Formats: sequence, C-alpha cells, structure tokens
Amino acid sequence: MGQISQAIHMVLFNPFCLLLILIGVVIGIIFGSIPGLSSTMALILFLPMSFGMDPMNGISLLIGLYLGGMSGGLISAILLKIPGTPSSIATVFDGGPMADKGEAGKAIGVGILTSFVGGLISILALMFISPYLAKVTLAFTSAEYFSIALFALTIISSLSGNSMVNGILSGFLGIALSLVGIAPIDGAIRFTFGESKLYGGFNSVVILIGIYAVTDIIRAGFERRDIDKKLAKKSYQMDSLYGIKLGDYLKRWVNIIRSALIGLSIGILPGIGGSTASLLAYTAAKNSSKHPETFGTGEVDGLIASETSNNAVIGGSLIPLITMGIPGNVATAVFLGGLTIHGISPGPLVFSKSGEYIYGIFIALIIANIFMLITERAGLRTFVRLLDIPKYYLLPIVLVCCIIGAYCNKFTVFDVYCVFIFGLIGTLFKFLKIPATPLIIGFILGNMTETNFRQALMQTGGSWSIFVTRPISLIFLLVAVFSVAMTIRKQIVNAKKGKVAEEEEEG
Amino acid sequence: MTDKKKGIITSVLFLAFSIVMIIFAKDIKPMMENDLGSGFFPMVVGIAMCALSVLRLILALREKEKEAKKSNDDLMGGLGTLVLIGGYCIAFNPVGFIISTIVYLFLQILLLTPKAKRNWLVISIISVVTPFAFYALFVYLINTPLPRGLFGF
Repeated sequence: MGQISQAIHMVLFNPFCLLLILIGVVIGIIFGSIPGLSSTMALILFLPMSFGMDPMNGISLLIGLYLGGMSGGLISAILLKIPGTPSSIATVFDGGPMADKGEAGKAIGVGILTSFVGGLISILALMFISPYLAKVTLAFTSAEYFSIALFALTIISSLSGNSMVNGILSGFLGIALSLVGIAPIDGAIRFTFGESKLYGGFNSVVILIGIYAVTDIIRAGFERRDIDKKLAKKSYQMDSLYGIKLGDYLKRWVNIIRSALIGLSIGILPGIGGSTASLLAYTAAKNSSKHPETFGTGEVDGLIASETSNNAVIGGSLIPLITMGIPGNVATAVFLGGLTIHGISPGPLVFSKSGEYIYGIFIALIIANIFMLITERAGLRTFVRLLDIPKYYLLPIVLVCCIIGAYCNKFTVFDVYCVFIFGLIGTLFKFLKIPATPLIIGFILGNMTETNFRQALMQTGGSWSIFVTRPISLIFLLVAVFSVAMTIRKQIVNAKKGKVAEEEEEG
Repeated sequence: MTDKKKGIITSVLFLAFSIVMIIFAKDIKPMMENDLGSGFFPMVVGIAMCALSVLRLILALREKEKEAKKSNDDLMGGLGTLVLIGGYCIAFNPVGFIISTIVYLFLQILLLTPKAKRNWLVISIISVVTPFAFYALFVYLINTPLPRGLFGF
C-alpha cells in the first residue's frame, strides 16, 4: 500500500507532473494529427528532455505523448482522409465517408469518445494483469527469456509486409548492431573497429532518431514537389458534446468490447502494432455486422472498431514491457529507454523494486486518458487549424530537435554523427523497400536473446535440451515455429495469387 | 529502378555485410569455461544473414523485369537535404549550436519551400528565433549544455 500512496503523491498531488501529462497529451495530439509527423517522432524527440527530469515527471510526459499521439491521428483521418498515424488507417474507411456526408463533427466526437473508452479498458487490463504476470515471470529462467525473445523476433517476420525476406534481413541487421561493443558475460570487445566510443554499443535513442525522424525529413526533401500540396479539408460541425447520444453509443457495447480486446491482445504480442489492430477490429466488426454493406460508406461501427482498438493497444503493449522488459513496438521501445535511464528496470521484480513508479505509470495513464478526452474535444478548433502549418517550416525545426536530442543523450558529437548515418541507412531502406521496424525490434531484443541463451547454456554446462525440457520455454519455441510456418505459408499463397493475377493480366 | 534491381542491390549489400561479420566473428574466442563465447552468436547471425541474402538474390533473379514506375523523386531536393543535414552535423560542435542552426534552418527551409511561397522575412525570422529559443530552453531552463562553438555562445 505504501507504494500506491507514494505513487498517488508523485503524480496526482504533483501539479508539475499533471502539467507535464497535459503538455504531453496536447503535443502528442498535434504530432499525431499532422500527417508527416508521427507520434513516435514526438516520443523520440522528448525522450532526451525527460532524462533531465524527476523520473516520474519524465515518464509521465512520455505517457501523455504516447496516449495523445495514438488518438490525434483520427482528426486528419476524418478531415483529410489521410491517417495522421498509421494506426488510424481503418478510421479513414468510415470516418472519411461520414465527413463526406456532412457528419465530420459526429465522426470526430465519436472517435475521441471511443478512443477514451478503448484506452481505459486496456489500462484497466494492464493494471490487473501485469502484477499477476510479473509473479508468473518470477519463475522464469534464462531459458524462458531466450525462448520469449526468440518468439518475439519471429513475429518480426509476420509484420514485414510483402517482403518477408527483406524484413528478416532488417531484423538480423538490428541484432548485428546490438552486438557492437562490450559483450555480455565475458566482456569481449566486438565490432568496435578501435573506436572507444563504441564500447558501450549503439544507443537505441540514436538509432530511433536516425531511422525514424531523420529519414522522414530526408524523404521530405526527395518529395518536395508535393510538400505544399493543398489538402482538401472538410468542414465540421459539432452538434453535441461528442456528437452521439450516450445510449446510442453504449448500445454498440459488443463492438466496443470486441475491438478493445483485439487491440489489447495485439498490443501484448510483440511487433505488430496499432495499424494491424485497427484493421483487424474493423474487419471483425464488418464480418459480424447485420449490415456489412454499410461499412465503408460512413458506418459509425467501423469508426468505433478502429479507434477503440488502436487506443487499446496502449495498455496491451505496456504489459510485456513492464513484466518482462520486452517492448512490443517502437513507442514502447522509446518508453523502455525512458525507464532504464532513470534506473527502473522492467521485469518480474519491478513491482517490488520500483513499484511506486509502476503504480505511478498506471495513474498517469488514466489521467492522460482523461486529459485526452477533454483537450482533444476542447482544443479541436486549434488542432484542426494546426493542420495548415506548412511542412517546409515544420520539418527543418523538427530536425534541429533531433540533433539536440542525439547530442543531449551523452553529450558527445559522436552520437550526432551516428544519427546522420542511421538517417542515411533509413533512407536507403526506404529506397530498397526494406521495412525498418524489424531493425529496431532486433536491436533491442538481440542483446536479451544472446545473454539469456549463453546464461542458460552455462547453467546446464552446454546442454541445449534445457530449452525444450522447461515447459514454458518449449511452448514459446513451438509458437515461434508455428508463427514462422504460418508466415511462410501466407507468403507462398500470396506468391501463387500474384502469379495467377499476372498470368490473367497477360492472357 | 525496377524492383528486381532493388532486390539484387539489397542481397549484395547484406551479403557483403554478413561476410565481414563472419570474418570478424571467427576471431572472437571463448574466454570462459562452459561458455560458447562472444563469437558464437555473431557467427550464427552472420551465417543466417548470409544464407538469407543468397535466398534474396535467388528470389530477385527469378523476378520478372517489370516496367519501373517513373520515380517522382526530386533529386535536387533530396540530395540537397542530405548535404545540409550532413554539414549541420559536422558543424554542430566546432561552429556552435546557434550559428550552425541559423545557417542550417535558413538553407533547409529555402530548399523545401516552393519558389512561389518564399517569404524571405518569415524564413529569416524562423531561422534566427528558433535556435535562440531552443538555446534558452535547454541551457537555462533544463540546464542542459549545448555546444557554444566559435564565439562562446
């Protein structure tokens, strides 16, 4: 109980912390809503700033950014028919047509409301599941951690889009990058090429800034002809507070709960992310609807499915992060960086060692969710107007933030050079159509995989059977094999389909 | 460029990378008893990458050469941005945060802004005010030093 009251004291009774959550939510919404700026970018840019703050304040700022960013994407998805963030892709399907029909206000209102509900359900799930899961993971040894990390790595292959091999190669490059520096266990120095600044290895923040933010700005240079493209913005009219009667909203509870559960489970699984969650929930809502033909023409249920599920990803994605230290997506990878820099190491012992911060995170999440519900509605007019800020002013300023962020990480120019180099790698990846997310996940899980693998083998004196004799480890290995098999199967089916389509085209 | 050519470039780049990795991993010897050593994992990753790049190469070679969509990329804008960011990174420390940022912002905004929209006054104001604002925020508010550079500010 002491930890909980301490947490309440640190967050709820701390006006500065509340202010930071508010700032985080507002900036998150702005970054989420402007296409070309992503909520991930917002998190990455503010991470170095959070280093200098009190742990709880810094983490709360990141929480606000994560939550605001997830929700902000719906504004542009509805008004511009461009998803502000990838996770609001499915919001365009019905939010766009609703705006065409003159129901933009209703669409935005419902979107905000249902984002709140989806977020809330997942946060509650996080609060109740993670302490128990942490108790279970206490019994985990290196063998289990190795198998879970390996399982997470195989998921990479399923999120590689059309080119599985490219995705896996990208993941391996990430693992390779994680090997640079002083090795775990015996401290051998690897792949530093005599550069002492590399002894500590690459920093995940530096890679994130380079591959995500800098790459996007370089791409904007290549696409500068389109930078000023006028986007036809729909007008909107808010009739009531959230555009929908509460009874009418709650009537759709089956859809709401189902979408929230889909988002939650997708969030728990590593490497999949919000866009898949919203697409899956949308499809599920459509398939179980009595009138599936209305989907895509402005069906409120479609909008609810998409926005509920992508916000439900938030709570889900924090479950493996807090209990095992495994980040499921780029946002939680940034989050992990924020936690470790303040000496909070997620894992089974986190509740006993830094419980006050974990409870603080729960409280901050709920507050951020409430702030999102209020500010996104109250500040809607301003957020919509911000969509007009020319990107040719915005992006260069964002780049300056990137460079400051890289520099402040360790106060060395070396990291600034690294950010540029990773920006180049990201640009090359975009050009060659290689997905970059596997690289990040590979980089973060690489170290964990190797350390646990070697530790497990040291304990058994070199006998590999430990990985299959411990039941939980075995289960994860089997699931990993299954997920690889499924992905290969899907790939082959797609290839065949592609071939048939090609032949038909030629014939 | 066609997808086929992109596939070939991808496989060759990763193949080269994995070979270098294997060569270096070979020389890392185990130092402790009962441990596979720090060379084992890099070796596994290197070999797996090598095998996958060969697979990628085969897939790419079997692909039919399709008419490539004409790229809409603006080379001047893209390469110019690359040079500007690179130059900014190099100048960041020796020249100092404020001056290098003023120059970078001015040139970068100029490069990205369509000719018809260029408003010299706005561009100048943004390029000068932004670095001072960031400097004040970081150095005085968050107590985080930024490179002072040539002129001591």
